[in-house]
Amino acid sequence: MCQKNAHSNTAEKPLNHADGASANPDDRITIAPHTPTLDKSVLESCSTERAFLIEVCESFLTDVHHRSQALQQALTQNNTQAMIETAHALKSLSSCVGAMRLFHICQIIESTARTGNEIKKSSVSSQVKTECEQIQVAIQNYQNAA
Amino acid sequence: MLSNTIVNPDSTATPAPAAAFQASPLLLIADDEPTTRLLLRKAMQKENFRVIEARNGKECLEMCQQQHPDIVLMDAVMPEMDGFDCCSALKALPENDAPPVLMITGLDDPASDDRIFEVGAADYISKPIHWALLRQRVYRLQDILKRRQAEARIKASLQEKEALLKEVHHRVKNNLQIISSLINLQSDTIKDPKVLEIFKESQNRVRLMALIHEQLYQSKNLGKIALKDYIQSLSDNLLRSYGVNQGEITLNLEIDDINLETDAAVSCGLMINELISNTLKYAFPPTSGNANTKENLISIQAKRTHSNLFSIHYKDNGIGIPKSLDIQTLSTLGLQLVSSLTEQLGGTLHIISNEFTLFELIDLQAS
Repeated sequence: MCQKNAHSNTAEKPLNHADGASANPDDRITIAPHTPTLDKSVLESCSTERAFLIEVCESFLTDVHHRSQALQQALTQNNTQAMIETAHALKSLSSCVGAMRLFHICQIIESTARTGNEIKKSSVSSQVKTECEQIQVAIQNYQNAA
Repeated sequence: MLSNTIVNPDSTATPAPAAAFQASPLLLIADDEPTTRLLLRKAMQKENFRVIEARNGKECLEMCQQQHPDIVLMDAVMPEMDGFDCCSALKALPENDAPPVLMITGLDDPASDDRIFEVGAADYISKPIHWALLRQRVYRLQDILKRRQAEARIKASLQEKEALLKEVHHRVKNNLQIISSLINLQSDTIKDPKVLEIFKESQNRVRLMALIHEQLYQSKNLGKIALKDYIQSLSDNLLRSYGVNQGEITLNLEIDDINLETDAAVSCGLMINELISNTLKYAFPPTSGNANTKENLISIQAKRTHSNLFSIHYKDNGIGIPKSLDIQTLSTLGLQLVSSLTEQLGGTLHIISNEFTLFELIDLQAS
C-alpha cells in the first residue's frame, strides 16, 4: 500500500464517535476491523533504505515499552492529565512506524480524556498492553524479514 | 548565518560531504520523540539540509540563538517548554534570530490549529507525517526565507548607500566651508569697502550652499530639505554675518512644513539670502530714525499653495525701495538673482512698496 492509500484508508474509516469506533465506558475501544497492526507502507513512506528502517524499528522498540507502561499507569491511577500526555506521546510514536491500531487506540484515549468522558480503565489498559505486544512482535518480524 | 556545528545527539547516520554541508541551509528539528527525530532527520537530509536537533522547546530556543538555523520543524507537545511557548519566545527574538517555524502536531482540535498561527508559526502539518506534504511545506518556508534574506540584503545595501551619501554631503559641506574661510581670510587684506562688500556677499552665498549640505547629511530624508529649518538657519547666519545685535531687528518666520529638493532649496536659499542681505544693507539705515521710533521688522512667510507649489511672502518695514524700480530692468545682482530664480522655479515675482516692502514669490515649484 502506498503512502497516499495508507492515509486515505485512515480518512475513510475515521475512528470517532459518529462512526461507532469509540471509547465505550463498559467496553474496549473499538477499531475498524481492517486496521493493520503494522502498516508497512507508512513505515516505508519516508525511506526504503533497509538499514535506516532497521534503525527506526530499533528506536521504536526502545521507546514503546516505557511509553506503554506510562500510559497504563496513568489509566490505572485515573490521572486524566497523565492520560492525555502519555496517550499523545504513544500516539506520536505509533504514527512514526505505522502502528495503526495502537495509534487509533491512543487517539481515542487522548480525545476521550480531553473531553472528560470516562474510560473503562482496566479493559483499555489491557488493550493498550496487548496492542503494544502485538506491534513489538510485528516490528521484530519486519526486522527479521529484512 | 549558517553555523558549522552540527548537534545530532542520536545520529548514527553518515553525514553528507563537507562541501555540500557548507552550501546547504541549516534545519533544526525540535521533538522529544527520538524516532520522530530520526525520521525527520533522514527526510530532511535527503532534501540536502544540514540538520541539528533539540529535545524540547528550551533546547530549541537556545540553539536558535546560538546556531541561527534557517528553518525549524517543531513538535507542538514537548516537555519543559512546549512548541507553542517556544514559538512565542522565538517570535520575540530579533528578526535575524527568528527562523520560520513549521509546527508538526498530533493535536487535532481547531483551537490548537488557531494557536499555532497565533504564536507565530509560519505553517503546520499533522501527524502521522505525510512526507511529500512535509517536503512541499518546507520548500515553501525556504521561499519565505529567501525573500526575507533578499529583503535584508536590500536593506543593508540601502543603509550603506545612505551612509555614503551622507559622507559625500559632509565632505561637500566641509569644502564649501573651506572656500568660505578662504574668502574671509582674503577679505582681511581688502581696504575698499565696496570690494569688501562683494567678498562678504560671496561668502554668504557659499555658506548658504554649505548649509544645504549640512542639513542633507543631518536629515533622515537624504533627498529633501525642510524649508522651515533651512530658512531659520540661513537667516540666523546672515544676521550674524552682518553684525546685527540682538533686539535691533525682529525676525518673524511663518513657514509651513515644506520639503524641497536640493536644486529648489539652493534657488530658494539664494533668493532669501539676497532679500535679507538687501534689507540689512539698505532698509534700516542709521539715519532713518526707525531704530528710535519703531521696531525694525523682517517677516518671511512660506505657504504651500498646491501639492508641489509654494509661495514666499518676504517683507520688511524699512525705508522702502525706490518707486522707479522696475523688475524688468533690475540692475543689482541680488535682485536680478531673485527675479531669475523665481522664474527658474516656475513662479512669478511681485514687488509692492507702501508701508512695507513686500516681495511676493508666487507658486514656486518644490521639486
